[in-house]
Amino acid sequence: MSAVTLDVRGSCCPMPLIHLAKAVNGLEPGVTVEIVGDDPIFELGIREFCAARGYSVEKTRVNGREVHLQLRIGQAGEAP
Amino acid sequence: MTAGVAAPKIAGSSGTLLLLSGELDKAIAAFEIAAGMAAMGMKINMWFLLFGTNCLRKPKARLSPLRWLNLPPYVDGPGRNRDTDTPLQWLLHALNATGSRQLPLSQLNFAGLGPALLRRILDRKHMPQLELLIRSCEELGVVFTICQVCVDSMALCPEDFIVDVEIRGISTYTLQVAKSHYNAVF
Repeated sequence: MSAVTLDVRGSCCPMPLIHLAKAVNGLEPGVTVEIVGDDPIFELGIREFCAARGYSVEKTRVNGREVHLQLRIGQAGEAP
Repeated sequence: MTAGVAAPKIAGSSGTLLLLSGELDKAIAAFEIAAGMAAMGMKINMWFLLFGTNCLRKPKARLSPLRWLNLPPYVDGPGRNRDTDTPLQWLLHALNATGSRQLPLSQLNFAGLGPALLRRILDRKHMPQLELLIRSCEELGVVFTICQVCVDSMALCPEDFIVDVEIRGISTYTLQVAKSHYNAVF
C-alpha cells in the first residue's frame, strides 16, 4: 500500500514535479508514492524526475488521458 | 512513452538564473525553469537586476497615494548610499511597475491587453501563473538575490519585496556562476 497518494490531475508542467518534490522531500527510502496526472508530458516528466533522484517506477496504469504511476523512494531520495 | 534523456546526477548540482527583464513572458520563463529545476533537486539561485526586480515588488496601484506620496529614496537600508540620492529615483519608483500583475509583455502587449490575454490562455490550459511559480520557488528553497547597485539606484529596500531577498554584489554572483552547472540570463 502506498504511503503517499498524490493527485495532480489538471495541472501542467512543471507543477506535477513541484507537487511531487514537496511531497517526497523528507520521506524515508523504501516508501511508495502513488501519483496520478493527466498532463500530456506527465509520465515522461515523472520518469525523468525519478531517474534524476534515484527512485524506481514500479507500476504504470493508463486510463484514457490519466496516467497512474507508483514510485519507490530510493537512497538518493533527499533533495540536496 | 520512453524517457527522453539518460539522467545525469542531479543531487549536488546548482543553477544560477539572472532576470534582467521586467516583462511578463521572460519572468514566467525564468521562474518556470527555476521551479522545475529546484523540483528536480538542483540548488537554484535567482538574481534580479534593474527591471527584473519588478516582479518581486509588493504591488501598489498605479494611482495609489502610497505609490506617489511615500519617498523611498529617503528610506535607508542595506545596500543604500543616501548621500548620492536624487529626486529622480522617486520618479522612477513611482512610474515603475510594482508586482507581477503590472508587468507588460515583450511582444503583443497591446497597451496592457496582451498580459490579460496570456493569463487567460494560461488559466484555460491549467498552466501556472507567475504568482504561483514565485510561491513554488520560495517553497522549494530557491534563493532570491537582488543586485546591490540596483537596490541603491532604484531606491529599494528588503521591505519592498514579497519574498525574503539577499542583497549582494558581482563578487557573489561570480562565485555562484563559476560553481553552477547551469547559468542563464533572461
